[in-house]
Amino acid sequence: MKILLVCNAGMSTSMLVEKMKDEAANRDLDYEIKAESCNNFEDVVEKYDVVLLGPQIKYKEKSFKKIAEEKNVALDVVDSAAYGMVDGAKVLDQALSLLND
Amino acid sequence: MKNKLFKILEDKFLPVAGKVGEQRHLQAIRDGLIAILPMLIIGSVALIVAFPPIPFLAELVAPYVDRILMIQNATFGLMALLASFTISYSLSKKYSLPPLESALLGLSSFVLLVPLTENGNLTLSWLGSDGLFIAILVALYSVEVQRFIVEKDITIKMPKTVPPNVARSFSALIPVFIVLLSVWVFNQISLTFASISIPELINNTVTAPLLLIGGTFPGVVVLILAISIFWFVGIHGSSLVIGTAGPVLLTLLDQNTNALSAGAEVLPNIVNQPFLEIFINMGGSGSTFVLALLLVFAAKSKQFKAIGKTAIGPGLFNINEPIIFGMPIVMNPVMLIPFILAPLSAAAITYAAMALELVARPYTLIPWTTPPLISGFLATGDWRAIILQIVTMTVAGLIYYPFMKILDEKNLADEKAAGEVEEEAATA
Repeated sequence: MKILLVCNAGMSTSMLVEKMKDEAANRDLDYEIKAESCNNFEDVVEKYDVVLLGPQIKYKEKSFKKIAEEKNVALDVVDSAAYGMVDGAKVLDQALSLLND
Repeated sequence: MKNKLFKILEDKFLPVAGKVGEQRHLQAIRDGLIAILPMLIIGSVALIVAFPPIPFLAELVAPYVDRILMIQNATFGLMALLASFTISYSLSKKYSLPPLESALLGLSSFVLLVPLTENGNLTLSWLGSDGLFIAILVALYSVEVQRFIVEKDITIKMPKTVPPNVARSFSALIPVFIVLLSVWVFNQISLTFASISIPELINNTVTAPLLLIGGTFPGVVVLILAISIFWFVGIHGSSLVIGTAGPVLLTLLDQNTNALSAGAEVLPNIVNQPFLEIFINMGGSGSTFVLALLLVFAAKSKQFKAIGKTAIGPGLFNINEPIIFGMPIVMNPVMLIPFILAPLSAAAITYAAMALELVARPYTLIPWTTPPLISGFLATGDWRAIILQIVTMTVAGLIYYPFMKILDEKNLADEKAAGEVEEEAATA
């Protein structure tokens, strides 16, 4: 499975990506998880199964969701408490549940 | 009362803020300027090399200053030329037009407007910050015209016998022809009837007032208020505000680099991009680096200590999402007060110190992720900037401390109550 995290410059989400990779490794899951800046979203979205937006770009949710739906990619905004605590496990769970919906 | 205010913010302000963030032209300007940032930063490095802050080194490179500055000319000095290309590119992409064609046309339209010297040569100053506003406007104009042409399906109709690719090669000429011709005509009209070129006209009427406002202390206060309030409702304030004000802040910065190259002792502008990014956003928007320290060393609740530990590493590189969403600052009325006051105090102290010439004014663009203390020195080439940053951080800390403590006490009480419940459950 491929998970994409998007935030303004892809900087703060990159911390979260590292935590999620650790968590995925702990669970013996082979996932590809990456962080991107929102400028690149349109170019890369179709390569992923799930996209999570940082809460600071929640205002882009509507327009990004439209693009994601066209390419059959699930999209949601990361829970802001989990984002603040850089809680890899919680966000990984969120990505998984999004895919199963 | 509190809930009502939040509801107004969420229902009324958030959608408006979101629209500003999503506005295509503003977005294209921000993205276009981000694209040229690496050039500007390397140009700044060349500037530091040409004018090193250490007298011994300065003497050593003095004979080569002009040669080193060639790198600065080809990067920072071409700010407008580069932006006319990148902004056209970003906007064109948003409209799903062919971006490379649009970018080239934007660049060509820009050069078409630039006033030449008496000998008919291009001057570097127009390709740099002097031309930035006109570059932005002409980039947006040229892409809008292309969009209009495509939407109205204006093409050259060819007889059926002409191969389709041949017809297409003629159609590609239409936007280029219309954009360049119209830009040329507008400029000729302005030159003929007002005896002034469009770039000069725009710089006199639009750019000059914007620079005047943007370069003042009240201007900075407005920007800081906007950044803090955007973050309070959960929107990335600094990228939105500094990005949108980028043309003004970068032009002000370039005026400083030009003054330095010309040998000025005191640089003209206090306020510019590094003033905000380096001296105000220490640890991230809201000058929160010191808040991360307080959370680690002065907080007693487990929750705050944990957030502090998460926040301090990224805070060193001016990234503060853990504090903003973890503490949180978003929709937290207690924290809103220091989150506005701390950066304002940093701005007031920094502005005063630079106005009184106690500390040199910033002239280099360094990455906004450069850690505090190093960043102040690199941005100004003045070691006293380090002391200035320590002073502003201390004041910000004094402002944050009581507010942090109010929430910390509350967390501690909650944690204690939760602990007692657990204990009761264990003994029962």
